[in-house]
Amino acid sequence: MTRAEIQEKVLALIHEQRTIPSGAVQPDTPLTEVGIDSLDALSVLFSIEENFNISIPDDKAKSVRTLDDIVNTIQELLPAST
Amino acid sequence: MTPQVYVTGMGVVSALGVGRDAHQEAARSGSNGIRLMESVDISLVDCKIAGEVPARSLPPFDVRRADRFVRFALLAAQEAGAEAGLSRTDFDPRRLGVVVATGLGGCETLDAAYHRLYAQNLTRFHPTSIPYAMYNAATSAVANQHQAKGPAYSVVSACASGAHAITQGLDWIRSGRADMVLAGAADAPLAVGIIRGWEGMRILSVDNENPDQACRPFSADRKGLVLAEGAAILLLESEQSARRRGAAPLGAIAGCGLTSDAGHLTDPSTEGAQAAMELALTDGRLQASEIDYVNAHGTGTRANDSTETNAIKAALGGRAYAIPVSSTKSMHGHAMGASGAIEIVLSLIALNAGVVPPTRNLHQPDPQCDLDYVPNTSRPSDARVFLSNSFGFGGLNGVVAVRTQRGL
Repeated sequence: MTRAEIQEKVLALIHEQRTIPSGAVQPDTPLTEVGIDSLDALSVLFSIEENFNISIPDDKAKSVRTLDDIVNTIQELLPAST
Repeated sequence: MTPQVYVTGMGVVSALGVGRDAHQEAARSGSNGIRLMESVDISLVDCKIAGEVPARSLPPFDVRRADRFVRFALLAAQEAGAEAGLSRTDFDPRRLGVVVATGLGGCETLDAAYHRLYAQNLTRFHPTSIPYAMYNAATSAVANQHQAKGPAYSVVSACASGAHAITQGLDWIRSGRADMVLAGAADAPLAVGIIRGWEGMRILSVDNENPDQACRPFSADRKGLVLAEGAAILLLESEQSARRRGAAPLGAIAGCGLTSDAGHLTDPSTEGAQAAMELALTDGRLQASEIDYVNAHGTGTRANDSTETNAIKAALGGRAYAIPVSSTKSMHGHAMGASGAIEIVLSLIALNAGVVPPTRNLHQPDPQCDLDYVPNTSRPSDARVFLSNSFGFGGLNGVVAVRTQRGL
């Protein structure tokens, strides 16, 4: 899966969690700035774990702030073959 | 005279529908809300009927935002707040309290989570599982909905939860802790695990072929209770606050009586129920002769209905035989912790409209139940004061004395 594909899927999951204007979430936008609160963020991470079939450790989960952070984390955790 | 604690708004959600009009019409016509369940996979349970809130009466909800019992509470609180004109008037948000009781909390959320864990072997829980299922979730959601920043918590006392929440609201206003309180209860226990638990107690009326006749309080052929769900919220308000806001009183909470049986976990007690009714009269400075109607706990179980009948006779003396006593659970089922609040709102709506709600399905008189239960058909009423009985598992009793608009 390419980085662009991961990013697209994550964006879709974010939009599923909360209604946000299209284009509001840029790779370096802090998610809190677009109205994603702490519980929303946890819910997004839950959906990501379900969809990508990965397990995000607590310390990683606590450090993600932006779309880029999430995509980096997923890339780190996805098996290398993909 | 002690200042009254008015009811200036009401909201209700039950198997009879959503809102005042649906419940006023149901009380008049004695209609049935007990049907085959649609929100539950009935292949997983033996008892396939319940007093389920009709899906068609519900607005589209984003189910990811709250448990079912919270969604019901929000609907009921919205109606109560609108009727009381909360959004149209100024008030100090720190003087508005919230107490939404529940018997069983977030059953939908927990049932789904445990299904994932035990049936699907999925060990990861959704992060909202805890905050959605917690017993105070409805109180918190209603406080947020109305930006109520005064005292707020939930009370839990099985089937007496609603009566206890209304008592709490009454006490906050009487003590000066709040000027207004959104008080009531919500429960949504129609989840497979909970239904199976009730089946284990063998006190459900499992008449899957004839759901409309399954709940038969006070009838000699009664077979048990029918599970149900819903919510009801009242806006309780001090006389002074209501006057200042120009809010019209729909009734008043005159007094409450609370007792514990300190006895059996599930068997009801005549003495505990009687004492709660007597205390409600004392608290409301009422004589038995002033009570015009009793909305009975009337679950339809063998034990409750005869015990409650004896308690009503012991508490009200000869007056017990002179007044109507009915169980609206025959129409909407037993909504657990929400039932007391639903029944108070339903009774107040009906009596203010000049109608005593009936007891459906009462076709075989029981010699042990010999009061006037308003069998099958509603009748005209000019009631000024009524009692609403709630007796919970664990021997916790709550009786609320309510003045109708006519009795203010």
